[in-house]
Amino acid sequence: MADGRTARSGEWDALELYASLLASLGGGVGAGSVGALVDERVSLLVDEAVKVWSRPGFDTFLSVPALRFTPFDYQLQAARSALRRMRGRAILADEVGLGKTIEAGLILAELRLRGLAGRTLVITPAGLVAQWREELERKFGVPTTIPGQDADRGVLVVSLAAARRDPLRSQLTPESWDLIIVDEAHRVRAPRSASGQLIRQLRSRYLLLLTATPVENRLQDLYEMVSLVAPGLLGTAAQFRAAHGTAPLATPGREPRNVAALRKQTAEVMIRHRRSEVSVLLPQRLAETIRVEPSGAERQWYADLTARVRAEGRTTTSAQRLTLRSVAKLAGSSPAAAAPTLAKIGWDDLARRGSLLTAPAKVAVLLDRLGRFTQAGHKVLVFTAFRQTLELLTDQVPGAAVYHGSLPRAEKERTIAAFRDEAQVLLSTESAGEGRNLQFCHVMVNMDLPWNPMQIEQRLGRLHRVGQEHDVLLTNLVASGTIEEQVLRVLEAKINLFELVVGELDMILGRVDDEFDFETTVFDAFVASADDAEFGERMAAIGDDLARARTDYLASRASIDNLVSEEVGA
Amino acid sequence: MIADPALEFWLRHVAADGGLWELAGDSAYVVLPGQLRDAYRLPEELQVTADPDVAREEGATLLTAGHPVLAEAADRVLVAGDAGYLVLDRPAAVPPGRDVLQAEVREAFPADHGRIDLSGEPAFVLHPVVRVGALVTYELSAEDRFQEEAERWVDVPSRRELPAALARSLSKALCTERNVVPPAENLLPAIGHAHRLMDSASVSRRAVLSAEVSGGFEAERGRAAAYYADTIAGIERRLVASTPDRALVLRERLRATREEQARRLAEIAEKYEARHVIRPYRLHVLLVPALRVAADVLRGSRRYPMSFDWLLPAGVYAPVRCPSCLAEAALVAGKEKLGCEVCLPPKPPTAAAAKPAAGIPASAAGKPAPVKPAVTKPPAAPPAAAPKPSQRRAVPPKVRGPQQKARPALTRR
Repeated sequence: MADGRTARSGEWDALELYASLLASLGGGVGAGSVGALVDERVSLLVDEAVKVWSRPGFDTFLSVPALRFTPFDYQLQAARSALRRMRGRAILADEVGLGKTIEAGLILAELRLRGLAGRTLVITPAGLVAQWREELERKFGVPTTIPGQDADRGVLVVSLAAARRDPLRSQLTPESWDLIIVDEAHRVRAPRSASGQLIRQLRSRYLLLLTATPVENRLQDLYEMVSLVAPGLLGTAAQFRAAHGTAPLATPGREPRNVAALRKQTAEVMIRHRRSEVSVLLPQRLAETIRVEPSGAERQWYADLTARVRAEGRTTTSAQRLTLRSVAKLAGSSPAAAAPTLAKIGWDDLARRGSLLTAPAKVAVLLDRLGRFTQAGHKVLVFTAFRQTLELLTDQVPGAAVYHGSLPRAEKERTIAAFRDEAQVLLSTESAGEGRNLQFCHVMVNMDLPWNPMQIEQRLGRLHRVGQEHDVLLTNLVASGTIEEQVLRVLEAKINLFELVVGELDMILGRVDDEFDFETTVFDAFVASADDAEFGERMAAIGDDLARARTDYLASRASIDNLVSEEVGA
Repeated sequence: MIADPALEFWLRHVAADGGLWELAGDSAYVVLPGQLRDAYRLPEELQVTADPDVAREEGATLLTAGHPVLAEAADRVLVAGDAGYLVLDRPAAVPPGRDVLQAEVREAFPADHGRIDLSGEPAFVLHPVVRVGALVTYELSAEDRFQEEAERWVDVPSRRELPAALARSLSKALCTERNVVPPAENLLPAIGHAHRLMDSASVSRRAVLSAEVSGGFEAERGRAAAYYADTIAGIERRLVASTPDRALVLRERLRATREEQARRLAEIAEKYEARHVIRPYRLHVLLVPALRVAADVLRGSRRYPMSFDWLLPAGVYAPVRCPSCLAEAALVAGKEKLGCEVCLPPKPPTAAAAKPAAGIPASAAGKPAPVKPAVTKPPAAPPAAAPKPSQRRAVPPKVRGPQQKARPALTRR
């Protein structure tokens, strides 16, 4: 670029910014050539382009007015960054419990409203399919569908386990998706696993990977994760290893190299909020467990029933096994709850004996507790998993509001209003409070204990949520000698279930095994055990697995914090 | 009717790139040329609208503010940029006579120890001026991004920034020339200077903006510090009353939390590190009709020849630099050369000269003449009003509010 007079040293670099403009001037800048005139239409178009670029764009969420809840600012900010700065391909890596699902939902709703996500696929662990559907439909007004149903532009929600196998796999992979959301996306990280191969075969313009653990033991984890949303951002695998090392993250003295540069690169596609930086404060959870001694008749009835379940469970088909599991769970709630089902499957003697046990010991303890709480002026939410138990309690607790999923919508509203304004006690099945504000209550009693700890977590979440101003007091009633007692022992002793931060439980359960299902595992252990002592030993082993998973989780969290910065501008 | 400016822009952009469109109520039917079809991953024919209801009911593609396709189109247009020459019209009014030109040159360029006399007849020339427009993106934190438009007008021969009034005046000048022109020379130093001016102003502006978000930094840092203090205190409390087995776990947790605390506080500081990026999108070379007057700067019998350009549309002289050292300072007619206050600084006062004789001006008594202010002016505030495009004028610079919400820096994809 010879020119008559020299530009200052260093300005030549800056002039490279003008290379295309200089080229457009025409004929270079030397003598004898011809210059192009300014094109008035181009000038106008450029002025408009500047305005378009500076318009609020995704800063203004078109979908927010239609939402059925108010997202937090940091969630909107995350969605905004993912849409604008990351162009719809991002890793949402908030710490557990901060609402990655909400952030993904915001992005999905916005893209759909703008006509950009007509074909959306959500891949999630099997246990969370229902939860995803509920969240998308209830909070975002986004219709969902599952394989086999008429899609009709609804968001297809599939479990990872089903999606990675045929026939679903071969249905999903040829499609050209607008948006794919992968929940617990660390499960698809490994390229050689079936899940990893699936995600690499799917095609989508926008991709959201949700995980609280984008990196665990190996730095390579991060590379694989980032490469899914932005292939090449971190270079080739060899370049990445050369730049940052290969040692396992936990190796003392062999920390990754160039961590600052790596953090800056990952921040181009990754958003991570931590509790310390968002103003979302949750109250404490205070849990107490009351082990209730059943009466002799109750104890014998339960022993006879579970012995029969165990005996038949070993030889029966899987469908019948499901019924047996259901019977065992019902029996843990109350004999009255189990009786109708027992009659239905032909266990008439046990049904008859159960129906006579109308005043189980747990009810007496519950009434005692309710008396104490209500005298102290507290409102109490009592949960049971079963309608039969609910009906039993309705007779025992006069004046209580009663809620269950079969009530008409208006009646549900009235029941919640009655609990808020008049009744001291709300007796409810699991459906209570879904999408409703129950923060005026902070005392909860579990009349029975779900075997699935996520269900326990969801119950707690009805009260232990943002906006709750009091510490949440949880009372678990569990009869001695029951399967529930063993379940509770493991969850309390091994992973401190009730002290966990919201969302951590899911992290821990997910680490035990890719397809770990606590409820099934418990029932399998129960059936496989010769007696209660062996069942106890098997449960202890399950507890050890959970404890290890928790230790792994805590260790990986530290690694992530070191490698992944919060939203640093790209 | 398309009421959305962003969609209107997109339709014009499509048309400029060879596409077709026609209105259909609140939407438009569009036929995209191949290159745009590929670029935007859209079908060849589509119906677009800015109305969400129309999009839902008619199945039209909703293209409204924030749609990535609109952003991509804006990016595409800005990447191509707006560059070219503008030859301003010679004013119809009779040009000033020699006496006026001489008086004006003496007024505009006072030469210490000297006097300027015109030495020849004015000649008509086209005097080049560059106008550079850019987007400056300020990143003050991960969340705080501001984008502002910046514009600089620089005189090509002297590489001096034009005063705001002169830039405004030129931007209003009519421009009807349609013939192609030979390119101006010596553009690069002028463009480089314009860029340097923008960069320097951006550094100052960034400092001001950073100060505005420092509250956010303090708040976030304070929040994190309080959070960790509370967490650590909680673990320490539990540690006191814990069993040995539990204590092991808690001590490990305490150590991890303290490490996390240190990391987070460092990251927060890093996050608020400010920066700015300049992205040029406009380069206009204005060829301004001018009268070039030859002149001599006289000091006694010494004559230092020089020339000055009278810019006809603005009625002022174009700025000049010191012919000896190229500084932007007032001229000084020295005994051996024509220089300026930089290369020919005034001599320090002597003791004798410090006490002037009564009734004699200081300069006449040997005291150095008071130093005149350098001609360099602070970065000019850009003119405010923009002429209508149909007048085909050089568009004036724009002023944008300092708090304008940021957009991501434009990048070539």
